[in-house]
Amino acid sequence: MPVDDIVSCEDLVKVFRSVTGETHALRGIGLELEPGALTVVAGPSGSGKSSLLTLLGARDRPSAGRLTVLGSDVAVASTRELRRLRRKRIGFVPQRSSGAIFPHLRACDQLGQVASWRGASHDHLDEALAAVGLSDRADHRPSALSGGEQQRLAVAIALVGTPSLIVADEPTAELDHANADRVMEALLAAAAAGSAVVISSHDDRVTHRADRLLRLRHGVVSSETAGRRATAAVIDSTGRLQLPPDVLDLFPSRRVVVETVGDEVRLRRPEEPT
Amino acid sequence: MTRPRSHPLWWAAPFRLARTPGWAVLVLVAATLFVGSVVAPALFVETARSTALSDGLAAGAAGPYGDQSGDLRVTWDGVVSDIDPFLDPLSAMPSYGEPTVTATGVGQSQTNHPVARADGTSSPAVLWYHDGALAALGAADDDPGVWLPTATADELHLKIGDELKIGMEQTFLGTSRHLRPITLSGTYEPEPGSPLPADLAALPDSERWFLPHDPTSPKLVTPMAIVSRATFDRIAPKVQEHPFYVADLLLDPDVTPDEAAVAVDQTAAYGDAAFDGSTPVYGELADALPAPASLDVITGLPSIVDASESTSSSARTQVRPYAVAGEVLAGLLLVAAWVLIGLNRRREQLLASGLGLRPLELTLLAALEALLLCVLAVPAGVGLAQLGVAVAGPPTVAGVPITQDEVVHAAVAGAVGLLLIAVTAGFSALATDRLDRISRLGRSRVSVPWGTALVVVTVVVGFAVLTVEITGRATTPLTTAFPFLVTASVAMLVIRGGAWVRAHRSTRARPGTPRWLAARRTGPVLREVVALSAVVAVSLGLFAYTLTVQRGIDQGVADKTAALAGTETTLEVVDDFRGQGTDRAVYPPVDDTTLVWRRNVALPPNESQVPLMAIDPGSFADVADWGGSGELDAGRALVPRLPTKERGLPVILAGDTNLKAGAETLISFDSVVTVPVYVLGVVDAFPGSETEPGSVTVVIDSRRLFKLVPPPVDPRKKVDPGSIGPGGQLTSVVWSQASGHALRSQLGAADITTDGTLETATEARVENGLVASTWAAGYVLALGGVVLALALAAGLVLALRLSDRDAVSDVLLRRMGYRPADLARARAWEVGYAVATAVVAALIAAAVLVLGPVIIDAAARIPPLSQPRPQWSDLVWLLGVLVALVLLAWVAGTVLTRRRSAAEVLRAGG
Repeated sequence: MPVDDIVSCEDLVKVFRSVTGETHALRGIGLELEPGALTVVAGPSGSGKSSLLTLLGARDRPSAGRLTVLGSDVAVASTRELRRLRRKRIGFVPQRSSGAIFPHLRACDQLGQVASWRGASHDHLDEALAAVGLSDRADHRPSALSGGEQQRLAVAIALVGTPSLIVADEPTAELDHANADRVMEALLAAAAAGSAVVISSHDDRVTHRADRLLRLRHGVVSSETAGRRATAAVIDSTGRLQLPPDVLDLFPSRRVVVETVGDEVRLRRPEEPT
Repeated sequence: MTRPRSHPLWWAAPFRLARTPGWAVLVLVAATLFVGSVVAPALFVETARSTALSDGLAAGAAGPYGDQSGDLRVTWDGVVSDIDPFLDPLSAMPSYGEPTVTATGVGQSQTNHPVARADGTSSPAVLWYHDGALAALGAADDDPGVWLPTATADELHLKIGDELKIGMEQTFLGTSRHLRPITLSGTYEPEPGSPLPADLAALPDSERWFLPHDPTSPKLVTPMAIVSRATFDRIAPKVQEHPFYVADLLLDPDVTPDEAAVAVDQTAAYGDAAFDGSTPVYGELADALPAPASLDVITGLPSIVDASESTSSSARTQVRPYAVAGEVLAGLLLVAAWVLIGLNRRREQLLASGLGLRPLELTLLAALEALLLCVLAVPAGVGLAQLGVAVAGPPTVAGVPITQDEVVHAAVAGAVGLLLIAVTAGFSALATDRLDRISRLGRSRVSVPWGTALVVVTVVVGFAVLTVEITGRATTPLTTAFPFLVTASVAMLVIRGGAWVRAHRSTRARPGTPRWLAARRTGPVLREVVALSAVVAVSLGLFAYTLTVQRGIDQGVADKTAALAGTETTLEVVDDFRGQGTDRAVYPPVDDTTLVWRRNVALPPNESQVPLMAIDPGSFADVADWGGSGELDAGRALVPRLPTKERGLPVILAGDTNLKAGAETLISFDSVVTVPVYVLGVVDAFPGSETEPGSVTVVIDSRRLFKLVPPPVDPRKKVDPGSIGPGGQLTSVVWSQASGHALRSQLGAADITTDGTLETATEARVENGLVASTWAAGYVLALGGVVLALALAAGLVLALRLSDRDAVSDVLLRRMGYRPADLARARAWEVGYAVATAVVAALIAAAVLVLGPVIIDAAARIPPLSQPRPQWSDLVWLLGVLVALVLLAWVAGTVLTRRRSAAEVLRAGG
C-alpha cells in the first residue's frame, strides 16, 4: 500500500450468517482510497454498498481479506484501537439519519460533543452547520427537525474537525436537489481540505461529481471510472472480470471466446466464426 | 449560533430522563422498591423488637413487681444514715421515673406484734412511711407525729395531739414491750379491705405500694401508723422492729428496645454496686441499723428484654428468606427497567459505539442519568418500607422508628441500585459494540442451552432442599431460590409449549378479524416479548405462591398454638376436683369450660414416658381450639368415639408413633397399674398435645379411665398422701376460651381455687416464636403485593413493546382499511394470549410448589407442619390480573395507535 493511502483493501470478503444460511455481501473487493478525493460507490440494492462502507468506517470486521484503514488492520486491530479511530479520525453518516444523532442534544451540542472528541476547535462549528444550511436550527433538538434536516445534521457531524476519512451512506437520499447539492459541496470541500471521502449513492447528480466512481454488483467491483476517463472493468486478483451490463447483453449464452491479437484481447461469441 | 457546551453529553445526562417521564417513573419505582426491599427487613426486625418489648411490658403492666413487670423495685432491710447514695443513682437511671420510697416494719410474727399503746391499751399498728403520704393526708412531710386509723385512735381513746407510744410487743414467754413516745398528728379512714387511707388509695399505682402484712394471717389487714421518714428511721431500730425499705421506679411505657437494654445494664450495675466494698452503698448497708443490711433489685425487665430480643431474632430468621427474595426481585426489576430503556435506545447505542464511546463512558453516563432518581429513591424507599411494615408488619402503636442505621442502609441501597444500573448499562454497551461480535468465518458461536440448564438446576436444588432437615429448611438460601427456580422453569416450559402448539395449529379465527391478526402476529415471536411474558409468568407464579404461603403460615400458627395451648386459657387447679366423686372429677366445673387431667404414662414398646390427657368428650370438643387449617379435625372426629366400647380403652394417639389405628397396647401408670388400650386413630397433633414434652400424647376418656384405675391414680377417691406412687397423681386443668381474668372470676364465684398456674394461647405463641411467624406472614403478603405490581408492570410494558413493534405495520394496516379499534383489539388479544399463558404457568408453578417439599415452616419442631394453603380465591386473583392486563393493553393500544403520526412513524423507520 502506498504510504499516503487512507484505506487499502484486498480480497475483502464479508459474510453474514443467519438462521436461514449465509449471505455473501462482499466477494473479494480490492481498492485504495487516497486523501483529497471523493469516491462514490454505486450499485443496485443488495450489491454490498452499505456493507463495504460499514467496513471502511471501521464499524465492522471483514470475514476474510485484508482491510487497512488509516494504518490499522481492521481484521486484527484491537477494539480499543478501532474505537479510537472512529472517535477521532473517521466521520460516518449512516443510511438512516435517525441513527446518526443523539435525540436529546441540540444540533450545536451534537457538533460540540464530536468536536471535543476530535480535538477540533468550536470556532468552526458554525461553518459546519452553515455548510449544510442549518445555521438557523442550531438550537433545535432532533425532534424539532425534519427528516432532511436530520440528514444534513448527520453530515455536519461527520464533517466536524475535518477527519481523515469521511464515510457517508447515501447522504443525499432524503434531500431535495438544492440541499443535496449543498451537502455535496460540503463533502467536496472536505475532500479538497485533504480528507478521503467515500459515499454511496444512486443519484446521477452525485456520481457525476465524483473523482472516482466504483460500481458494485453482487459484492464485487464491476467497474471503475476515474474523472472523465473511460470506464474500466475491473479484473480481480483471481482473474475474474465483470463486464458492464450493456456489453454483457452481447453474450446471451453467457459464453465467450477470449482471443489475443497483438496487444489486444478480443471477446467473441462462441458461435461466431473466427 | 448559541455556543455549544463543552461535553454536552455529560451535562445533559443528569436530567435526560426528565424528558421521558414514563421511563423516569419506571426507574424511580424500581429504585424505590429496591431501597425499600433493603430497608424493610431491618425496619421489620426493629419493629418486631419494639412490639415484642411493648407487648411484654403491657402483659406485666399494673401487675406485681417481679419477673413479669418492667418496673424496678429496690429493697434493703435496715435504716441507713444517708439514703442519697441509694436514691441518686436510681434518679439517674435511664428510662425510669423518680424513685418513690416506702418504708415499713416487717418484724411481725407469731410472737412479735407492732402496736400503738395508750392508757394501758394496745392496738395493732405497724410503722409505715411512703413518699408524699403525709402530704396527701394534709400534714407536712416532716411531721414528727403519727397518723392512725380512726378506729385505732378511738380504741385507744386518743385525740389529735395526745401522746401515745408505738413499737413492738413480744408475747413469747411473757409480754415485753419496746415502745417510743410519739404524738398523734391525725387520724384517717382506711379504704375498706385495705390498710391505706382512702385518700391515698385513690392515688395512681397505690395498689402496687409495699404494704405491711401479717405473715401469720396474710388475709388480715394490719392497721398502719403513718409517720415521716425521719420518725421511721428514728423509732424503728429502737423498738426492735425490722425496718424494710422499698424504692419503686416506674418504667417509661414508651421505652425503646435500645433504651431498655441500657436500663437493664444500669440496673445490673446498681445491684452489683451493693456488693462492691468500694461503693458508698456498700458502706451504708454495712452500717445499717439495727443490723447490716442487704440490698435486692427486683425487676422483670431483663427477662422481658431477653424475650423481645429472642422474638425479634426469631422474626429476623423467619423473614430472611422472604427479605432476600424481595431484594433479588427488586434488583431484577431495576436491571430489567434499564434493559428496557436500553432496548428503547438501541439506535443510540449503535451510534455511541460508532462514534467510539467507550463502554466505561456509557456506564458513567448511565450512572449520571440515574443518579437523581436513585437519590430520590432513598427517602421514597424508606417511606415505602415504613408504610409496608406499618401495614403488614408487627402491630405497633409506637409507629415504625427510623434510626440512623436505616438511613445509612437506605443510602447504601441507593448507591447499590445506581451501581446495578451502571453495570447493566456497561454490559449493554459491551454487547452493542459490534466489533466485539466478530463475524469472521470459521468462528463458531457458543450456544448455551439456558432452558435445559434452568430445569436441571431446579431439579438439583429441589433434591438439595429435600436433603435439608425439615426443621431447618425454612431458613436455608436454597429455600429462597427454590420458588424462583420452579416458577421460572415452569414458565419456560409452558411458554415453549404454547409456542409449539401455536406453530402446529392454525387459528380458526376468520381472516381479517382482530383475533386473526393477533394470531398471525404471535407467530414470529420476538425474544423480548417472550422475555416479558416470562417475567409476567414468574411474577404471577410467585404472587400465587405468596398468597398460599401467607395463608399457610397464618393457619399453621393457629394449628401449632392449638397443639401447644389446647385452648385460649388453661388454669391448673390442684385439689378442688379430687376425692369428690365422678361428677366433680369429670364434668366441667363451670359453663363453657372443660376439665382435663394430665399425667405421664409409659407406652410400649420402649416404655418411654409420654403425656396422657384424660378428657371429657362431651365438653372437650366445644372448648378446645382446633386450629385454623383443619389439620386437627381428624382428632376432633375421633373424640366422640372415645366413650365407645372397644377391645380395650379407646385412645387417640397424637404425635410420632409406630402404632397404627386399630392397634392394641398397654399404658402403664406405674409398675402395678396398667390399662389395656385400643388405638382409635393416630393424628399429627391434637389440642394440647404439645403442652408437655414427649413424642406422642395419649388422649383418653377420663370417665372410662377413672373406672379402671385404682385410688392412688383415680382422682375421684380420697387417697392417703403416703400411698401416692412415684408417678404422682393426675393433675387437673380447667380449659376455657375466656380470658384468664374472666376464667378466674368465673371459678372464684364457684368457690374454686384460682391461684394455680395460668397459661394462655398468647403466651404459648410468644414463647415458641410463633408470634414472629405471624409477622413473617405479613411480610410475605407485602412481598406478594410487590410481585403483583411487578406482574402488572411487566404486562403493561409488554403491551407497550408490542405497540412499538407494530408501529409501522399499524400504519400500513390502517391504510389497508383496518380501524384503530381493530388494531387495539388485536393487540389486546395478543397480550391476552401471553398473559393467559402466564396464568397457566403460574397455576402450574404454584401447584408444584404447594405439592412439593415443605419449606415454609420456621417452627417445624411443633406439629402440625405449616404448608402453603391454596384457595379458589387465588384463582380469582390471577384471572383478575388477566382481565386487568388485557384491558390495559386495549386502552394503551387505542391511545398509542391514535396518537402516532403515520408520517413520523415511517420517517423514523418504526
